Amino acid sequence: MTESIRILVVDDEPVVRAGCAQALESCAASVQTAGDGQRAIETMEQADVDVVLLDLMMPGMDGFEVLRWIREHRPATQVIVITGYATIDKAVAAIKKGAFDFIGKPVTPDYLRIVVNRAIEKRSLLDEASRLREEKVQDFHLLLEERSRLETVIKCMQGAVLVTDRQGVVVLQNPAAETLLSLPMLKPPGKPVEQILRNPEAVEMVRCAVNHLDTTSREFRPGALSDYFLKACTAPVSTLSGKLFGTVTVFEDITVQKRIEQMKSEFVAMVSHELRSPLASIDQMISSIQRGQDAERAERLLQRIRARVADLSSLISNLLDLSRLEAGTIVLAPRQLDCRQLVSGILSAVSQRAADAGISTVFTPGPYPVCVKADEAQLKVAISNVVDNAIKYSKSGDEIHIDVARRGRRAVIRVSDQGLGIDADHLPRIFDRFYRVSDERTKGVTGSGLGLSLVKSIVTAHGGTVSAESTVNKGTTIQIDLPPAEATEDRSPFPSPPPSAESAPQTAISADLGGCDDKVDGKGTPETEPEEEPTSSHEVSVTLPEGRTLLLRPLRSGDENQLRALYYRLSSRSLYLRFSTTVKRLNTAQLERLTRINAPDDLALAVISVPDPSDFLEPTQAATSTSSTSLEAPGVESDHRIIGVSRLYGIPGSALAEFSILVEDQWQGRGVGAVLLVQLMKISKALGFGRIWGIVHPDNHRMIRLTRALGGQIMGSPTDSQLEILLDCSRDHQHNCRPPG
Amino acid sequence: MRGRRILLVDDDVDFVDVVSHDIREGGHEVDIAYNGKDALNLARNQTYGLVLLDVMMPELDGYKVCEAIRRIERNRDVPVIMLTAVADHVTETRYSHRDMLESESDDYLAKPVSQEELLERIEHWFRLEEQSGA
Repeated sequence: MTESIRILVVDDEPVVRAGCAQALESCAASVQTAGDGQRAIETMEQADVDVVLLDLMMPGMDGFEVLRWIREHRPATQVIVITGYATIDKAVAAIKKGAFDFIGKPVTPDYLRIVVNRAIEKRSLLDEASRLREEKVQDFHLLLEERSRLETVIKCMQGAVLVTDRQGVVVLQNPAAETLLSLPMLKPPGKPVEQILRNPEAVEMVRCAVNHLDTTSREFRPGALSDYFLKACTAPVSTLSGKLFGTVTVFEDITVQKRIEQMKSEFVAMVSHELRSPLASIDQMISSIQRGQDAERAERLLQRIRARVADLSSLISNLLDLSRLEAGTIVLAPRQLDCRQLVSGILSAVSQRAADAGISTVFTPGPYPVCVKADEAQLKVAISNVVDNAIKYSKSGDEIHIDVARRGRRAVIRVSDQGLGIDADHLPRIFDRFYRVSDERTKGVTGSGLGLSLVKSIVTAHGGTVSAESTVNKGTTIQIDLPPAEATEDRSPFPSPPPSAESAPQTAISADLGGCDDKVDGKGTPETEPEEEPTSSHEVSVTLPEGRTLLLRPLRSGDENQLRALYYRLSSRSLYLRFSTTVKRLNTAQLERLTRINAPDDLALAVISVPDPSDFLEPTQAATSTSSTSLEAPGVESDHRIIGVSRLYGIPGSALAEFSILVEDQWQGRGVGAVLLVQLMKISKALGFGRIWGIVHPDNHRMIRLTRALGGQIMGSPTDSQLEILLDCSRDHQHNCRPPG
Repeated sequence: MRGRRILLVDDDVDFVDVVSHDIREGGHEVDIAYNGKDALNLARNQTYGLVLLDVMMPELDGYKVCEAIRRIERNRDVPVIMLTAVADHVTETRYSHRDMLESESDDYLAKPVSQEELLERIEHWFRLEEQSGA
């Protein structure tokens, strides 16, 4: 300790100073001296000292003044005052004023050392205390942080959290507690848990934790503690030494789980009943036969037994299929199939049964393939069930009609019977599990009750829909709708289009080519059979009225998800084409890239090129072009310069394509975009698109005027950053190349 | 004075076929309904001596039909026997034997039921009715 102690001796007598200094040498690292108050203060101003020996009676600045200074500026410094004989009262006064101790003259070295050491000790203790205080503040901040983190966690928990102290007084509840338990906001000091939780069992859980350090778990039905079905768990919280600190209770909302459990047990009950009932009836019939019946009746009963056995068997199959489908253990192995073939196969299988019942089947497959991507076995089950139903509810002499065709993009299978029909009251429920109509007319018909619900599950798993129409005693039609087959996997991958070009989002669409192996050349005239699709070939050539040939190529594979998302958003009935007419500033290099028709990432198809641009544009100051690179494109004369290009990614004849119009820097604002737009509309019409929809910048007044001139609609408000325009390109637009004035 | 006509309500045609046959062999008259709605139509126009009612049917379940029959004045006190194919140990459902005993019905029979037991039970209820002078 002596290593760092500094002492200052202040006395006007040099003898005293020297004497003390010598006596204290061994106690401290340094001993300084000062002959008067002024010099003492100066010394202390330079460097801190730990202990000061101070003579009270000094000429000049007196000791009390120095003492005062020290208390004010160096409060940690310990002062020992030196007094004369008859001045004890002064010493006492000094102590009252903050001195540590006093020592009387003459000063004995030993005694001096003792007193000084005590002062040193005090100084050390003060330092230590100060250090501890700082540490405590830091720890406190850490604790606050930790606590705040914890509080955040608790606040954000979905479960309700209730914390009590060791007396069972609720000290913390999170927002979820207020909701789940309908508790009012907690205000300090908190209430005992009995007043917060109104359920004695819940209170008991907390008391258990408090009194016995037990952790308990319980469920509470709706109404017991709150409107929700809750699971609660209470645990005691102890300190490290094992003493109880408080309790924590967490409440979870298990309403959904309970509902699921309930549904499951209802299902089990239904299945149990559905399996036992036919067995009971079979047993009943057997008993009847055994008791002795006339031959005719016995024979009839035996036939009914057989029928019920078959039904039970099919119920069990359907049940297994259904449960596997829902558990996800059936792995659907979809592949391209032609529905016509599938249905044809099913019909041959049932033909005998139908014929025996005097029912004829009429199958009309369309002339074009109806391709879907589906699991063959599952789809067979679905369609068979529908056909079986039709047969079951038909009578001798009735016909069952089965059509398989394409409607727009979807595959549609319709099975119509002329049988019993279904009452409007029952119709909405026929796809429900085990639902059967039971009345005089239908009493003879038995079945698994699961057939149609299995159909629904299978069709839904394939992304399709099933629906029914019916008229009592006239017949029923069941229709299965399936989404179209997706493109084949063996397309060459295409890199993405140049990113800088458009402002329109890159919803690049993969051309839905490929499918069922038919090759159809998509000649772009509106009279083309709308159900026909160009299939398999990756390229489609379209000849425009101008004689220019367009080459369309599908875009990158892997965009199916975006495509699907886009399809989902847009109705398949309305044909919307998305394109962007926002004209971007392009440099020549970008433009050049875009016009490269052979580039696999691109479907550039229209190039506007002029020998002398000013020829048909508004007479404006002809800008001198700084770019002298001549861009080449097929069909463009070499001395022409390309100043703009339009692009299309799309599917000829179908709903979606994306456009962009790009105009070279200098030619913006001159009507080039307008010319391209008109041309684009002609192209769209030629390709069989209906309407086109695009985005335009509100400042692009030219484009907006043109849109209106072409009979299009503008949507959006003036403050939007972009507007939408809608144009009907199926009409004939007589518009000359002069942009609107 | 109550007649001895029996109303049999069940959606299973084969069960109805055999059971109605058995009942007629026993000398009683039977009316048949395959669903609750038809049963109530019959009950409105006829006073029955006994109702045999399947507990689990599509749409209107047995308990509801039972209550509805009781609300028809002329059949307010008719004995109702529930019929069930469900085993006793399935107690989580609403169709356990206990549920049936606690409902507004008077008795229950488990399927399949022999002709003997059926007729015996019918006779039993008819005797009771006679004794109480209904």
